[in-house]
Amino acid sequence: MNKKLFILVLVAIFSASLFAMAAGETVAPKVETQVILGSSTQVNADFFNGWTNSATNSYLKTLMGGYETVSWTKEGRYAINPTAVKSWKATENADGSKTYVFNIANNLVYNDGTKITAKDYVFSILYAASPQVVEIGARYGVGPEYVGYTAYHDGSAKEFKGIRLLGDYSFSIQIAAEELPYYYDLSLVSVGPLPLHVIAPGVTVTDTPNGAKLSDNFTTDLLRETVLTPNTGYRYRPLVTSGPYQFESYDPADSTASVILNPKFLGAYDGAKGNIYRIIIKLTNTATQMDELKTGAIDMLQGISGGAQITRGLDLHDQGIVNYASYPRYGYGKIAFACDFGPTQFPAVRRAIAYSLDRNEFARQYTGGYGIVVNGYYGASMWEYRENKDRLDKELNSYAYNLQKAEDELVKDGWTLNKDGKAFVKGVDQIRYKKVDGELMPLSIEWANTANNPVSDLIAAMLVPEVKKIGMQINGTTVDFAVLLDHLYKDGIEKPVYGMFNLGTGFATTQAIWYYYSTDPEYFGTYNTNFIADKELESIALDMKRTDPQDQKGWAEKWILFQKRWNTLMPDIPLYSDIYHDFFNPKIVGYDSSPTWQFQYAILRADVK
Amino acid sequence: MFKYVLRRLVYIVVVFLIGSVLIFSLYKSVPGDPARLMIEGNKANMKPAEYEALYRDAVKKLGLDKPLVVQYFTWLFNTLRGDFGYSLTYKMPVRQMIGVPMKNTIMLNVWSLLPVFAITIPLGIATAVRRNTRFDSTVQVITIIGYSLPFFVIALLFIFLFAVKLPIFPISGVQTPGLRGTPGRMFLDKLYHMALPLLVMVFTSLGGLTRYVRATMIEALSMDYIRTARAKGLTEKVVIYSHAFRNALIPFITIMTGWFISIFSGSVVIERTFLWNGMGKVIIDALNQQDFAVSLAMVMFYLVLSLVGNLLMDLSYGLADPRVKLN
Repeated sequence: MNKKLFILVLVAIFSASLFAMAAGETVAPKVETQVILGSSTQVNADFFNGWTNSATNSYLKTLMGGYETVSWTKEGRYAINPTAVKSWKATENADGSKTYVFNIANNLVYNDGTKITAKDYVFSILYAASPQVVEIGARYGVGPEYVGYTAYHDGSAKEFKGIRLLGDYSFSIQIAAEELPYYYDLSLVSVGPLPLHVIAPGVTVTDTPNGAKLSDNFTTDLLRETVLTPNTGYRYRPLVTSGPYQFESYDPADSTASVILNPKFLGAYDGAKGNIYRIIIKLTNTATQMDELKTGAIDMLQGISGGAQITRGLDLHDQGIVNYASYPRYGYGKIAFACDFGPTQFPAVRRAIAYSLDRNEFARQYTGGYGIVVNGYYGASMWEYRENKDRLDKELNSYAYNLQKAEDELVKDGWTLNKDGKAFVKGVDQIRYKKVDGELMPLSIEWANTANNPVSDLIAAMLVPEVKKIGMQINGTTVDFAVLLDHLYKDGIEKPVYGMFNLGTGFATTQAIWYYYSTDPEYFGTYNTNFIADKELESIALDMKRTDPQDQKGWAEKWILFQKRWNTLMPDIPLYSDIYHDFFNPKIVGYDSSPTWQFQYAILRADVK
Repeated sequence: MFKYVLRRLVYIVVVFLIGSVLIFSLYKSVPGDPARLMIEGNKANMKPAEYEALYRDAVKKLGLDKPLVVQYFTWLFNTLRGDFGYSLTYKMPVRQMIGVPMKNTIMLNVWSLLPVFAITIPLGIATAVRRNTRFDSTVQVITIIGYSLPFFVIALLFIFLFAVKLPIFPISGVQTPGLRGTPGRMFLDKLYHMALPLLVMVFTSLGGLTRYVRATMIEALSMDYIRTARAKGLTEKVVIYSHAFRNALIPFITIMTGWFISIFSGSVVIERTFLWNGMGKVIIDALNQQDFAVSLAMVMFYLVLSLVGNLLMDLSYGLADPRVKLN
């Protein structure tokens, strides 16, 4: 009997497996033109701006948004979107402010067929800047540069002075004088439509001499209902959108989301309407993602870094299973210095550390050969670098590994004493000292790093022993990343300890370097994380900000000047900039990505064979 | 009995309160600024004053501007009301985001319980009854392999064998992306995706449980009352299942309670390897991202579950063994 029972159980398990296999075969989806992007970052429930900043969700949000007045172009610049904007005019006012008037096309519609008018554009600004959205927990960066923002945002004025509704298809935006001139001022007036009839049904947008306003029935309760209702609110199911794709589904059980083509979309700034019917984003595991690509469970992996993963992807390419595109990362891994205290406050010490590290070998080891080294605050794909590569490569110091130069920097800077204040003798004394404000300062640097971090391991192996040879000591302490950030920002830190950190950084599309290198203490910490107060660097940055938007050559010249000054000061040491790889199924054609032209843009212009 | 249960319930409340103070203090002592984490992504190109205002809002929203004691009582009161706070990662109330992973975890665990118990109990009994035979030795070797190898090694091995080399099952996920169909078809697809993690769970559970059942049965079979039963002329089936197995049940109840609790707690390794969006993955992600509202809520939930589980376990002892008096 026992035998029978045992056999019965085994047969049941075997049958269940066969059943599962059979089920798998019968339920395979009917693939039309669809692309499944594998992502190791989970898609969350947010499909409307204002809450999470997940990069994966932002791909879908971008695909669902359209008809913005100003578009981000493939060349990495801002341009007026001719599909949405019929005509426009920028006027510099007597008070120093600047008014942009936009006349939008009268044939734009949402995916539900509703006409898009100027009211939808004005509503998107009034909505995002309103005190009501703060109440529902949303955060937008829309409007602080416009005239009348503060009064409207804090609720003391119902009208937004700098925003005017000029007609059914016309509106204007006035940028405040204190924000101008600003090289990226076009980016400040990039506005897309929001479906007023869905987000705020019954609310009206009207114009007054004091600016545009929303009717009194625009309330927090209304937004809670239309935006925040679980599963049906606009935040979770934006069914009415203006972009090339429209929301199809989100499965929280699987963290999978999909969008399908919007047949009513007229085109992006370059006329692109999208070719692939359905785009799906699926969660993948780094350990098995290449297998998923190989078996066809996904069609694409984007932004792959690290030697092991890239090699596996390239093996698949050699077997003809995938194609790939590669581009340098828009950011880098770095050593960051605290430039306001201790030995790292001296540029010569920072330069000496740079000379003591073989960065090319470091990048090779860390990225497995799929990385490059940059010598300034830039990424190799920035147009400013690409257009001036030869000059920059020639004029910027690459700090090639050279211990003699490192030592020279220290000697010239006065690190010539020993702990007794006498002359430092190489081979006898361990650490150099320097007289600072009448006291001896040891050339000893506290370095905060994080656990299980190969970059920390490489620094410990490739830099720490080298600086010892020139009389410098680096003491590493492994801390939690949150603690590292607290010390980097000096957030709640009474007496700073660490002068050196290792971490990564990414660039924004419009780099506000005038914030990051401002000498105003208000910017120290979260913005100016180096706490560097160099007037020359700040002055160049501010001069860049004031560049006329049309003067690209002037901007590039100042950008080079900035990089040269930065390269002399070395507030950071750029360690490596990964070469990212996008691997995709050969059925996908016309996919052309770059660091500033990522999946959400490239896939719109791609097709499936 | 009633008094005993009442006393245990009071004990549960006291332990819960002590546990809540300890756990809350532990989380509060973890370095990092949750308010900064909440708004970090908004910083790029935002003016410092605007960022500062956002930061102040976040501090207020999270209640971090209040004294620690006030923060504790506010949190405790809200937790008892079923308001587990706001997830910094998901930007929504914990109660709203926890439902789906909890459902996935329960589904996977309940489905795994059936084959695990259906296989291990008869197998454990069979090996105990046929102790030291070739059958027993073979099962011992196989179960020791399943018992000794780490979860993730077995998981990756099964993926390699059954999803890459022999592409029978999908590598990961809960559902085929883009699949549309009837609820029945969707359910079948979910089962199909569940098959491989289920196989791994069953395989890795076989070793421990089978050996446990075997050991308790061997002990029970060596008792005098078994000899007496056989001497009375009872059939071997009655001796094994009515006399030996019932007595072997008592230590087994401890294991069962552990399994009952684990129905609600996901396996970090299984869920992360197979991307099964369950509680194990949610908790480890919450800890990595310092989403303390989520991890605090879940730790408190498991605390209550453990306390209730222990009470049920003790009550079960009384039911299984008349010699155990609950007073």
